[in-house]
Amino acid sequence: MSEKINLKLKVWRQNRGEAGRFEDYEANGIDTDASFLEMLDVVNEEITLGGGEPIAFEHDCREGICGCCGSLVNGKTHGSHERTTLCQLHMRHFKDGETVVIEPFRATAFPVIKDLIVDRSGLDQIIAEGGYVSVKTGNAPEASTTPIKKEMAEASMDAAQCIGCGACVAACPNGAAMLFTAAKVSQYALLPQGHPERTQRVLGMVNKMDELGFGNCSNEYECAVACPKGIDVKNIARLNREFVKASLTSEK
Amino acid sequence: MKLDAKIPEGPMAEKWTNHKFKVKLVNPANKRKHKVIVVGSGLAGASASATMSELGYKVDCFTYSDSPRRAHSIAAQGGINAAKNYPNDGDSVFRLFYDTVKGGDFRSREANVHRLAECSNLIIDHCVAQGIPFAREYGGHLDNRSFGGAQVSRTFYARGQTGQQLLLGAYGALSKEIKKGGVTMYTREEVIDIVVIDGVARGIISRNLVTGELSRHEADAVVLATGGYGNVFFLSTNAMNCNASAAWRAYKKGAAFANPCYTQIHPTCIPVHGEYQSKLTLMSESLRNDGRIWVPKAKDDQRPANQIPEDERDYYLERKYPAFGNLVPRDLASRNAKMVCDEGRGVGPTGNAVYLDFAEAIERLGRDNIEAKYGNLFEMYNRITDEDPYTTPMMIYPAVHYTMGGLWVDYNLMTSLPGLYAIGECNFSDHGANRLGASALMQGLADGYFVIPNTINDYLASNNLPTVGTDHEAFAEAEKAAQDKLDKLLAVNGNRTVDDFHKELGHLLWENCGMARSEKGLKEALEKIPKIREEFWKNVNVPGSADDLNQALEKANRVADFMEFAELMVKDALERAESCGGHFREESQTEEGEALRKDDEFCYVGAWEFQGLENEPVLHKEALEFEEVKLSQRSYK
Amino acid sequence: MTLKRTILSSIGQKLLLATSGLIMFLLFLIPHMGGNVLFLFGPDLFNSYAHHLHQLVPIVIGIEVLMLASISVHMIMAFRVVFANAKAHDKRHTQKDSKERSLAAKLMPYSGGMIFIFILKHLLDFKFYEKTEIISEHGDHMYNVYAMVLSRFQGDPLHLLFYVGFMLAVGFHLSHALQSSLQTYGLYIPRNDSKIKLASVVIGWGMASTFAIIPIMAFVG
Repeated sequence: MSEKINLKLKVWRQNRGEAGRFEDYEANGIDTDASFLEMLDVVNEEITLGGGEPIAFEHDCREGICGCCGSLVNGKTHGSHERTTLCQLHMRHFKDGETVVIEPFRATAFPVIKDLIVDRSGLDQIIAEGGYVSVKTGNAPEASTTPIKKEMAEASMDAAQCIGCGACVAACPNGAAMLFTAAKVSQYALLPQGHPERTQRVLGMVNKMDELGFGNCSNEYECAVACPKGIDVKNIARLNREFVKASLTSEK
Repeated sequence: MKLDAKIPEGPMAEKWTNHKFKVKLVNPANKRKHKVIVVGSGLAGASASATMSELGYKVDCFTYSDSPRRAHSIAAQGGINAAKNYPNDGDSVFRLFYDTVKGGDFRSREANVHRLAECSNLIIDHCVAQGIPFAREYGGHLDNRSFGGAQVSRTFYARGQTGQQLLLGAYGALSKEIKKGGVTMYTREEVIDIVVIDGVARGIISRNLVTGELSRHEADAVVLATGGYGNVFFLSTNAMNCNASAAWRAYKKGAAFANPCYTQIHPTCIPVHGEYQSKLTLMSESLRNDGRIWVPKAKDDQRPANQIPEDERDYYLERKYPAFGNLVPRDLASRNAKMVCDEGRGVGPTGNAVYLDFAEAIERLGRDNIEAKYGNLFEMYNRITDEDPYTTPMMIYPAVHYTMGGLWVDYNLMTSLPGLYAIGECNFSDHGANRLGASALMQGLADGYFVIPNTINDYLASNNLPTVGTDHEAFAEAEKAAQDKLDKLLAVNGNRTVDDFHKELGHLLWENCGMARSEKGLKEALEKIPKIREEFWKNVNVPGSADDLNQALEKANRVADFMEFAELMVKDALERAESCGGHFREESQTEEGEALRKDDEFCYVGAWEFQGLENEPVLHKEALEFEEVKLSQRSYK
Repeated sequence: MTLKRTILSSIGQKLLLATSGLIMFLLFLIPHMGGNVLFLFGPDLFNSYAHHLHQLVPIVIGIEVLMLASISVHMIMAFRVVFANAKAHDKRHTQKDSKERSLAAKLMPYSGGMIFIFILKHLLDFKFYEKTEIISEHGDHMYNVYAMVLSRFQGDPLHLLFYVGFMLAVGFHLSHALQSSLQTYGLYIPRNDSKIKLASVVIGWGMASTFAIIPIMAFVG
């Protein structure tokens, strides 16, 4: 059953174009059934009524699918629970009186916009380089034309679940976007629909990823632990294979 | 204002084909001279932007999110309907059309619904070609499951994340066109007004959410794909940022708003558990395939679920609707849950919940099977409630989920303001008074991929739209009005937060204009809403400044619109003194407590025209005619 | 153009890093260890191994050239990768828990650097060191490498410590490098099934300890 707890917060505050700093807040009388973001709502209401500016944090669906939310909570992306986004982390996992440190997802490719909000548009730019099948509306054959092995469809779906939250980048000691890129490359590598473009897809996406200043993979697998959707590093292995194959066979 | 639905001539099944032939076309070389603004990047917005760009139009697409992929379409769990008839269970375009008209309780426009059913199959073809990993059978073919309001299995799905996969498909198509240069994407850019010049929509005013800067954008046509207004209730299954502002500004600029009282209350959501709660979480309707809904037969039964013997349980849906059982349409499932809770038979700490029990299904199919089907949903439930649905029945309660009402559109999806289109949940056209499960994704994609790219030509080809330039006074006026409003909000400096007001408004609406509505309650709400609004403008506290990322200001600007919109919604609910679909008027029910439609009085679309805030809006009625599906009282018994 | 782009891409660099590393591992480290083990079997066998090795001059030179190339590529790529990674994550989290990252992975650049220093020292110690000639029982003229190894360590605990210490770096480096190179080649290393990871650790530390035994034995006599 739910109870009320009090917490001490150290929250990263930063304005556009300025250096940031940690500030202390108190979160009192927090219901343990509340979500982490609802706890921040309560704190923000108090800050507002006290004449301050509320903590800016990104959020939208609050059911773990839109990929908006995410911060480092006590040094862990999305907090302490595996396969959980911050909005789905509940306060029952915190102890009364605990100090909670909250800071934004950091990476050179994710500049801070304000407080806990970072710019993750690099991920969109990677997708724009080929994270899709180029089929114009109206071109499609009847859906049942190509049977696809159930296992392949399932493995593709495993990869396709990525919500683009950027936790993998923040968790990576090198600020790499390999898991993100690998998930999209894998989704299409596993399906026949993705095959005609697989060469330019992997080359284009990896190239963009490098250009945007994401780091290199050093196979430390922090990303996979951080991923709220449990996307496996085998996708990175597949990305590497796809890359080698594409580099050897590219016509350009 | 005269509403002309422009329904094409000819037999129902040929209307769309005929219409596509009859609309004017823009020749390929001229297409690139036309710019179209699309507001919103969800299923409808992203698919429309991508497809129009493929055709050659210049498209500017706007979203307030940091990426088009965040749109709330992403949260749709269950699936998407199509009349493929792969399971060979007797499905057809006509049956999907029929089910949708009937499910909508005969308050939708037949021609639009038939077109929707026709497009449904094309959507599946297209999405499969896009590499969307739909669920498959061992033979490699696409799998289907069943959903409420239908007796066939026609729902395609990708685990519990169908909306996500379809949105990412549309987002991929959009990304492809962004890369090609056909679409210019504006992220973190909120549209805050529509600019009308000489009676036609010619552009928008937007606010950059990072810098606070206002900017003007001109176009030949504006397409709103901004979703529904469910967040007017404060607590709903919508994402936190969903809002009615763009549609509301369009209404204030002359577009009629249709059937605002039609809101869908989804039966299977996790019950409210505290004051702090910010949103409600939906559990997919697909759970009703195997879960059985029940409450104790006795009032105030405090025993834990597993201590209540079988013969003291009331499986009320199975009892009352033997033909459809737990798979009755959403409005019926929701209303019945409310009825049993009002009788004092609700469960859980607040008494506002019913059980959704999988014990029998687990026994019949085995835990592994249930886990494979619903594992992620069970996990989500467990995470939120800290209870294990494999051993204890889930507790669920209805919550605001979808809004069938929206901007009035004709068959071309153009609003009554020329040059302004509305697609997806943002318009009113296809779902009548109740939407069937797995139909929202279908409509969003049908509108975006297949309808608007075919109908917008007609407007662009038949109208001379000279460049006006964003220096035009209409742009300057709209920008100034927007700036003034933001400044005004910041200047109030009162004692209550935006959320505080939003909660008050939402609570009032839920109580008086929620699952059951009465003349008395609605009149009471009509008295209270202006007072809340007045206090809002006197006592709201919006911190920060307008030239910075300011989430409180964004929210305040949206809630200010909800304060006005709520009144129209209640007015519409009061005007419609019948029960239909999601709109249940207590005065209009059968002896058994079922919704009673009054076709002779209310078989129309109620479209409201703005007359200034201080004046009463004017109601226009578009009569609904049913040629193919005979008007009848719905029965799911 | 594509080739250059491929080589200088993040994955291309990692591939070169893995390949050069594996070349050194397979063509140098493993044979070297095999030779070293002979030390444990007394001066005759060891000296004759060294003698035979010298007679294979063309092959040895070939391998030496390959090693020089590999080590250059390995170091250039390592510098590029480490530098790029530092740049990609220059704004560190103030508090960051690692859940999966191993100590070996964290130490890669440092253990790599240490190994490089070690190699230089090792070459000075043995390759470019004056050796005494002896005549074997078959009448061959050969260097008394065995005696040289003994002389380098006996009565010099500091030198011993240096060698053993640097073998720690080898152990750390290999235990991450072996499985990491397989992942880079696209061979899947399951996160929860750590057989390959375990093998990598066992081989890495096994080899490091084997190398460490020689100076220890030499010290003890």
